[in-house]
Amino acid sequence: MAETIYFELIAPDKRLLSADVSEAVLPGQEGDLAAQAGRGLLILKLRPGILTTRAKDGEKQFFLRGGFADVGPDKTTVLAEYAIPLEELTGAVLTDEIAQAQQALDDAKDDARKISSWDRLERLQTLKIRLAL
Amino acid sequence: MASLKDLRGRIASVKATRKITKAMQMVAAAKLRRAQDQAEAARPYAEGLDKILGKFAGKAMPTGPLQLLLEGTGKTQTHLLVVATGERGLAGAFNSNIARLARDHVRVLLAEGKTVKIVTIGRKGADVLRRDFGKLMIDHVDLRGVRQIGYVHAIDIAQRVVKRFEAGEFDVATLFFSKFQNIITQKPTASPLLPVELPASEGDYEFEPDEAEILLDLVPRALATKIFSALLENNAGFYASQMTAMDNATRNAGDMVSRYTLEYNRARQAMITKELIEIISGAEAV
Repeated sequence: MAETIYFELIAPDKRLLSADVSEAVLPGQEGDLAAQAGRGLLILKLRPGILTTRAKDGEKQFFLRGGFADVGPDKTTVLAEYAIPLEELTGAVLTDEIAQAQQALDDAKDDARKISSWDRLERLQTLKIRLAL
Repeated sequence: MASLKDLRGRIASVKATRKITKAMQMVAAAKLRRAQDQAEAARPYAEGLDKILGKFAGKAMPTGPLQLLLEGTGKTQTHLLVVATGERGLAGAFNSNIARLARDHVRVLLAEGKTVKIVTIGRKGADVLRRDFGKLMIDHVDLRGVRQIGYVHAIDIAQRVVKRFEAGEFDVATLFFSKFQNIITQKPTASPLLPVELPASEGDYEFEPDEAEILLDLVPRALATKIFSALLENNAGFYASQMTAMDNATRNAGDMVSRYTLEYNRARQAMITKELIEIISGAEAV
């Protein structure tokens, strides 16, 4: 068994997961990143997508709206704006997420926020197609 | 001295009030447990976000809209006070303690020649502050219809405040709420809101993507989280305060019932004695 890291997935109103895992695959803004034991200190911005944790007792997957990860050599904390177990993700939830992202894009005033909102919207639309929801 | 009928009426009325206060106490106790759980469940996210925010302390600040949020306008002339209280009363001095702290702040700031603007969250604080500073109040957030406070409400309030900040309406914002310490103690607190302060922390971190892009999302989220925590602490404090107030009211009502019952029994005894004397005197006369 490979070395483990202590992993926490926290939403604003609850802690969704807190366990020792061998690996957590995080949906980073610039691509997926595997948080494993010994990894250097990193602050990672997350895109809307799927987070996967692998542990002795199997694999767990969650849908995240986005957020931040504090990655370290023995501990990784993911702060998600909104997170649910993947099995609870339905087409209606994703459609709602897309509508919110569209609203954020319409409300964005400056270029930086417009780009960020547009990116979020596109990633959600891609995810919806990929998961066929 | 009150008649027997009056006393009977008073006893019945106080007993009815006691039933109501007892019921309110039990409802507050149930809601307190939920509110406390909710406030506790929200703590790890707020602490985690603070920790991440701290990694940016000492880094070069980005330019653009974020610079304003992090560094402020460079002035401290116009202050915005965001005052969060409960939507309902019957909770002892809970609402008035927060309002008093805000009122004292306003007076100090006005005496220093500063300009003050007030945004209220919760009807009770708004009612109190409107009496003295009606002209300074620029916005009110009504959460009366909200059954459970969610992160989405905090985001909405944060967006309203940021919008005003970016429009140059104020230089410094302070949040007033009551910190829930335990069921007996809730501490009215003034906490700086804007510009956003970066807590200090250690460690040499990498950032992906770059600092500016992360901060663009992180700073508004930190602001909303601060407001969310304050709303939840307030909520728990409100029910704790209401529970204590209703417990006191129930006990006072019980004391009143005992006092009136004693008075009633004495009056009844006096009447019986009086009637007996009259009967005996009548019998002796015959």
